[in-house]
Amino acid sequence: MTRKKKRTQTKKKISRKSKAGKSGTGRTSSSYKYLILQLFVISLLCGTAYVVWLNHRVTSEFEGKRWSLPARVYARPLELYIGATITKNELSKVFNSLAYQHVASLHGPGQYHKQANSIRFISRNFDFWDRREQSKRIQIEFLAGKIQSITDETNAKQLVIFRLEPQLIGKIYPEHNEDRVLVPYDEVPVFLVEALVAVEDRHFYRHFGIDLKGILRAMISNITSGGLRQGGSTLTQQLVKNYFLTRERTFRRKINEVIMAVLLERHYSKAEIMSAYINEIYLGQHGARGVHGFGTAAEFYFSRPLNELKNDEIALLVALVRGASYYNPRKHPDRALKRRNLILNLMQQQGYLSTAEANKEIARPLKISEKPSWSSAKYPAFLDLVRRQLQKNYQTEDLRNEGLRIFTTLNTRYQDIVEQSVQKRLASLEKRKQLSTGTLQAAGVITSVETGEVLVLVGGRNKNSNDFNRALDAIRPIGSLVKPAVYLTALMQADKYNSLTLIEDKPVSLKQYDGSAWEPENYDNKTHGNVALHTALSKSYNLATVNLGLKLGLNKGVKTLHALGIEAEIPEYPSLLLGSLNLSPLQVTQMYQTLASGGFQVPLRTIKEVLDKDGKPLQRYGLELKQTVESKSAFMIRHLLSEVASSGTARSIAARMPGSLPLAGKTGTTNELRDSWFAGFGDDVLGVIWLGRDDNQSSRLTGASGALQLWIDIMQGLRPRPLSFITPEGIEWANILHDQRVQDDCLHAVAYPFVQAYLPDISGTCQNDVIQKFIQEKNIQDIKVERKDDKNESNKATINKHFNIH
Amino acid sequence: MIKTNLIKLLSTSILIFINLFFSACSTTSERNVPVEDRSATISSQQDTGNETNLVTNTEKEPESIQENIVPGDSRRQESIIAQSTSPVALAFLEDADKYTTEGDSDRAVASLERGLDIEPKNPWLWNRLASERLKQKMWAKAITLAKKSNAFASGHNQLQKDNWQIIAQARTALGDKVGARKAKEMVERFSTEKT
Repeated sequence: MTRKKKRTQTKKKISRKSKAGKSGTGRTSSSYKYLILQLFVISLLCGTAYVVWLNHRVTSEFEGKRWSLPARVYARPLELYIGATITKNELSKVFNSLAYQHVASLHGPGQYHKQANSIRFISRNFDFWDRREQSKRIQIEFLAGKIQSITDETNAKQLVIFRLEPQLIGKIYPEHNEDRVLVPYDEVPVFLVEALVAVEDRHFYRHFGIDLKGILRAMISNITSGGLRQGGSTLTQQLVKNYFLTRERTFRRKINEVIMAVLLERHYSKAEIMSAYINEIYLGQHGARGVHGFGTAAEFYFSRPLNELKNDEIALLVALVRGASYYNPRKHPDRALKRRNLILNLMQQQGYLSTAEANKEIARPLKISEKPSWSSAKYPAFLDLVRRQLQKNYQTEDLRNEGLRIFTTLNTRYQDIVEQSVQKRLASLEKRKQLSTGTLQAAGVITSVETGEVLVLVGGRNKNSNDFNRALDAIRPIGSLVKPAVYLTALMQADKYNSLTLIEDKPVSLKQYDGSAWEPENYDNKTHGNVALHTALSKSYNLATVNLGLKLGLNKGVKTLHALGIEAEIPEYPSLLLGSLNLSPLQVTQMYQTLASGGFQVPLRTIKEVLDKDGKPLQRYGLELKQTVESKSAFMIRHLLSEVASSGTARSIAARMPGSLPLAGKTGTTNELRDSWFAGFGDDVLGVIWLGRDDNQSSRLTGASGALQLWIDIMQGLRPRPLSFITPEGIEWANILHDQRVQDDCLHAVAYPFVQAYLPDISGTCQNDVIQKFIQEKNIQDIKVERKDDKNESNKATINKHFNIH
Repeated sequence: MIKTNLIKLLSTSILIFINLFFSACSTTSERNVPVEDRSATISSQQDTGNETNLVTNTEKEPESIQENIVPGDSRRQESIIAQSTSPVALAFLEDADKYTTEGDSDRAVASLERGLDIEPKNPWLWNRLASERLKQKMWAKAITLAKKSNAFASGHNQLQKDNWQIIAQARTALGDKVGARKAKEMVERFSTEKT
């Protein structure tokens, strides 16, 4: 090879090498670019997919959102009608319980004003089952403790009746324990929207979900401080945070929040977003329950609906947005007040309030209700019964989440009277019987005689406790409360028994299964020979009752108890005749309900209507009744029970409530005075009271010395109507003196009802004849009446005239 | 070649991104507002809400009530309303009549039961409730309610007669011929007895 050829080859080699070197460098730079591009594309795709997923989440959850709303439980509404027995002060208390404001002059719903003999008020709108009661301006005039007139001041019309909205007494909460009162957007006060915009998001109506300037400002602050210190969050972002995300303060969450806020604004209007915000935002804590939304917060802090709040009150709620715990007005009133005033100043600066208006609002003191008016701790025993009755028709989930509106039969006025009476009387009894405080317990049920509605339920002496509900679950022997069933069984055999039929109050000895003898005794340890049926019941003679019951047959007595509404299994033992039958106070009430209503069994109920969250009627629990005891017998036993109250074991009623007679009832005492019972009624209300001890030791109280006294305390507050005796077909009244029928014009005789077909013959001598003869013989000119309780002067004249004394 | 492929890939990706972005931001035609809207419910109730709180309207012609009542009831309703002495009970009876003429039996019953909360022993309210249940073909309930009315209707022969008429009709519907006959006998009896 020549040198020239070698040089050329070398040059070619060098040239190839240099070319190879160039393409190796070229290959490296291309690879990097390709990699970067790949990464960019992949990131783009991933980012897009993520945004798509967030978008799906936003739309599906926001649109599909059904807030879990607690069920709202209402007491019975107060009906104001001409002649209703209610005083001005009692009505004021009702208004206070409904969180009406007492004002000097009326301006809006939820306000009242007291005058000399009248009250004026503006009611709230309320949707009842049957109709909406519109807000009205009403004047009620009182006279002698009753309503004299009701005027609709809007059109100067006289009304016969007016129905107030019912008191909210409790809620049944969702499992996540969020409390919420939904407020439709068109009912949101304008001031609230303005306050939120002014304080939280000035550019709300201009931005697209995020406020870039605000974010920039916050970013700079956070970078310089090294953490998340400042928020530039819009209302939309806050809503997203509350609605979809957790409270963690991380960049990742922030990014999600920003993207979702933009997407939310893309899909929904400003009004929809604002409305959701107003109903979602967390504003406090009530025990284990979160207070969500301004509607709930208005009730929680002010016990009033949102649309009744004044501007300073709305400003306070807005203050809570930044920290419901930090600015809690109950725990940190100074802080809350300061923040509220800051907000009011801010609103003035931004032109929502004039200077004068702002100053006026700032000058108002902080006025928070002590606790929510609907605290479910208020009537736990009654709500317990409501829940049990509801669960027969509704799933627990529906009760907790569907926002049902449940209208009950509770009379809060009566309930408060009963609870106060229980506290007072138990303390007094413990003192008298030298028992330590808290030893005695009580349970009570008050119902409407004809409709079976439960007006009051007391489960124990601690009214706010959720513990053992004695009214429903204390199954106790009922003692002599069983006796009316025995005597009713007798009266059903009108051909054999009436009020005068003599029955034997003589010793009984029966062999028991174990060979021992059952030998009951009377309370006074005496026997009384042959006694009239009415006397045996009135004095509650044990021996007479056992003898009568055994003669009638235990199975018949059991049948009567079932007819009276006892569904529990009843053992057919002779001791049943003296009340060896365990029932709860509620079950006893059911039994006496049938007696009080003249033989018509009316199932006891606590619920009247259920509406859905929109006010649409779902279910109505109407009046149900069936006649299970024939009317004549029912009438006669009712009359005999009035004798128990006037002169029998419950004669304390006659002594303490003479103006309310006739009333009726029966005392009950169990062995060793473990249980003290009384069941009694007037024309309109029935009350059953149990006193005893949870440890089943002796209460040292009979039915008369314990439960009866409490019953009277209660009835003095409730003022029941005296019994009316509307004589049914087939009943005739006859005058009785010394357990014998006497002539009709006999002065000292007492009228008793009898079945017409079996009216006893006249067999007694009227004292009149004897006295008349005596007067003539002695030439008596005047008779002075010395009866202790006879204060009526006209009676003396009557007596003189009767005996032809001039 | 590689360049060309890369450019194609990039442009495709961008196109996909744009499509996805716009699809993500698109709205659906129907959606549910998450917040409850009661305005429709409220306005639909407003019509019946105007006549709240029973008013003694003396200008109201009794005949206007009669014209709309089911035939056979007109004479009964007129005499019953005329005899009722309580303005509160009268107001609820008139309210029930109004609902009955509108064909709303449930509200008529609710009104009567509301009246019974206040006057539980008013025999006219019980009678009217029995009559309403009879119209609803709740035979057993109608019988019980009519008997309940009778328990308080002593001395009101016309009312007792009406109650026994209800009982007779209900028993007939239940196939209780014997019971229906007995009820009719009672109707006759109260037709001849003077009040």
